[in-house]
Amino acid sequence: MAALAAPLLLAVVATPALVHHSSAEASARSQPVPSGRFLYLRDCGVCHGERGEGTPLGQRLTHIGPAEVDYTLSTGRMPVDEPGAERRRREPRYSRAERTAIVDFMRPFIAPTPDIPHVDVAAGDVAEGAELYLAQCAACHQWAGEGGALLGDIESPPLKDSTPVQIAEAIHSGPLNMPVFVLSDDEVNSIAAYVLYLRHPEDRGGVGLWHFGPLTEGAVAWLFGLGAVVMVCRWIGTRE
Amino acid sequence: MPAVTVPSDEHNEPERRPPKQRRMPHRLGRWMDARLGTTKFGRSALNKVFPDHWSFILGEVAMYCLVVLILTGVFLTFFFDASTEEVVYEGSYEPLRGVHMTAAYRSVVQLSWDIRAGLVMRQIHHWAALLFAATVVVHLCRVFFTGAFRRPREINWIVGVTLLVLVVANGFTGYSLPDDLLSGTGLHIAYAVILSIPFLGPWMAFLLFGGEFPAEEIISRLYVMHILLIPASIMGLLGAHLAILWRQKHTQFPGARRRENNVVGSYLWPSYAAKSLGLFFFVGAVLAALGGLAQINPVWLYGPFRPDIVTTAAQPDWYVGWLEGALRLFPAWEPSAFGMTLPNAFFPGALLPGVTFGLLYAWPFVEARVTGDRQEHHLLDRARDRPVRTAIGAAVLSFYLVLTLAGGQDIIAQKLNLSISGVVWTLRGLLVVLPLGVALLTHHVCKDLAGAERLEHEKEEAKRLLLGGEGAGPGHHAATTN
Repeated sequence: MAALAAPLLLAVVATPALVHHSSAEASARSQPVPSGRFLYLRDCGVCHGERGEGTPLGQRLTHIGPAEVDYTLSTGRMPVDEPGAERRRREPRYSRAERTAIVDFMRPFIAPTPDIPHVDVAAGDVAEGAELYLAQCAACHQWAGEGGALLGDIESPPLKDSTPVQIAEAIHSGPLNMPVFVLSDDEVNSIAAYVLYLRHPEDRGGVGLWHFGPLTEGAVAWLFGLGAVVMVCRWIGTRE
Repeated sequence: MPAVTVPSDEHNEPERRPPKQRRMPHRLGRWMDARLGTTKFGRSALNKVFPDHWSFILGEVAMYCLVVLILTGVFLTFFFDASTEEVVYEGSYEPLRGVHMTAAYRSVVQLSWDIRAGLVMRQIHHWAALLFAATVVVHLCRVFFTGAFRRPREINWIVGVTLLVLVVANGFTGYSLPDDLLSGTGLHIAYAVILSIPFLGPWMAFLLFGGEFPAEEIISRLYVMHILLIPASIMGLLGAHLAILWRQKHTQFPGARRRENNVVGSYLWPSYAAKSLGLFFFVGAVLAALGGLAQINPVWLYGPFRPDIVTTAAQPDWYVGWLEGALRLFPAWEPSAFGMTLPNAFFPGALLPGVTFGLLYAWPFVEARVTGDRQEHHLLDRARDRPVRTAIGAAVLSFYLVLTLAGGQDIIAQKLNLSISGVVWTLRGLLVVLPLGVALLTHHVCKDLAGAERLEHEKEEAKRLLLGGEGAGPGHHAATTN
């Protein structure tokens, strides 16, 4: 036990310094990519175990596939600053090459599927994507991809920054609270096409009011509509 | 400055040939008068006096919203197809091309994308509906807080509350017509609420929907309600509202030369009519600006309704938002007795609006009974002079404000990064605590204001006595009638 605890403690203590170091490294792209083994043991193994078997600080990884590993790393949800911290989308820690190196190092001890998918947005059909999105995704991610707060205090993230590959990885692997969806490659292409469309939808009719729905419309009607009307009423009427 | 017009007896004078041929309108007027006696009525109508206080104009704004609603609504009827027949969309909005939908939804998307001025008309119509309901509520608040509902105006209060119910009903039927994802979800909730009414629920739901949800006939039935039954009722009752107002004359705030038996203000013709016309144009301009600049109800993004689909960030329009909020806040409580269960949705969905409007209808009579004041009143109360009524009104408004916010509790949780159960419990707490706090605070402020004023008045009185004042203030330009 002591043999395990010593390097663990060392790693935890050393992490802040390394974090600083590695983010500087990521910005200097010319440097050679460190090996996946090095990155995994430095940043992941501390909590998830040397071969993904899990520790009291982090979950077992042997049942998840490369798609989920890649999704979690590319959306910046891992590594977290400290064990147990909430996994939120942020600037990813690793470059694409570093991510590939980590996933390749993990392949022998994690599940083989779902693998990192190949997505062809151009082959997707936006109309099919819209239909699938509204049927399968909107219940949590909202009709305009703004995300939402769900019962059980689950937060469903907005999709504005999702890349096609991340969309496909999430659909196939169901990260965090998301369920796994069994959809064909064509269907995934179409959904990705529609989610990309939702970044800048054809918003006719003026300012989109942040796509929050009728609640904002009501607020605008009261503040701007009624506000303007009351000002004019006070102007043409007396105030005594 | 309106001069007092002295009624002349011109038309009673013996027949006398005019030196010159009179103009056409004049001759037509005389022709009409000979048959209908219009001159006398017209003269008294044009000399009708309207109070000038700004808060009296709010009801008029509501009326002009109704005019805009009718004008834009007629345009929309030319293009809306009230049918649930399944069709395939082939219009110019690409993300829906080839999608199966109802003819109703397709016609609204077409209206928005392929018909010239269709979208701006739809948006003006929808904004006008939101503003209409808002001005009706604010107008009701004015009448409530100034005690304008007291004898002899209880009937017009009842007519007004009925108008509010009809405005909400017509808003909801209109919101439901496009058959998009949100409107279908709203209808689904309405169906469930109607079903929850004990004994009568299932009968009523089937009577209204013509079958189990989603029944095929519902859109065409809602359409008839939305463009014929409810608007006709609104216009009929509005006519009654105005006729009663005309008969009973306006109320007014107490003030210089204002008594219980007169009305101080401007003549209808020309000053009030000119102001009013200007107001109409301004209301039209505000609605056109909103309709042209701010997107409302982008149904093409919501997608067509399917009973098996829901989306987050789904709320109704604000005037139904308090009911949605009540449904979201009400605890999961389903009492059972005598082998029957009262469904959860009954309390927030059916009982709450019943109690809300029931109390609104009953208020003038409840207040008269409690205060024992059964006198006629034509001079208004100022809110501060009736602290209890004002406190109750403010508390009730805060209660419904919390409910309305609860209608978007998921948005609040998401945007403020809070847990949804935390938001729900906070709002539940606020629903109880806030009205109490608001009532106490309002009562206190009213008392303070009235007290400060009394003190001010006494000071002035003392000053006048000491200095031997000359009472006459500057002349007040206003017309009066008895």
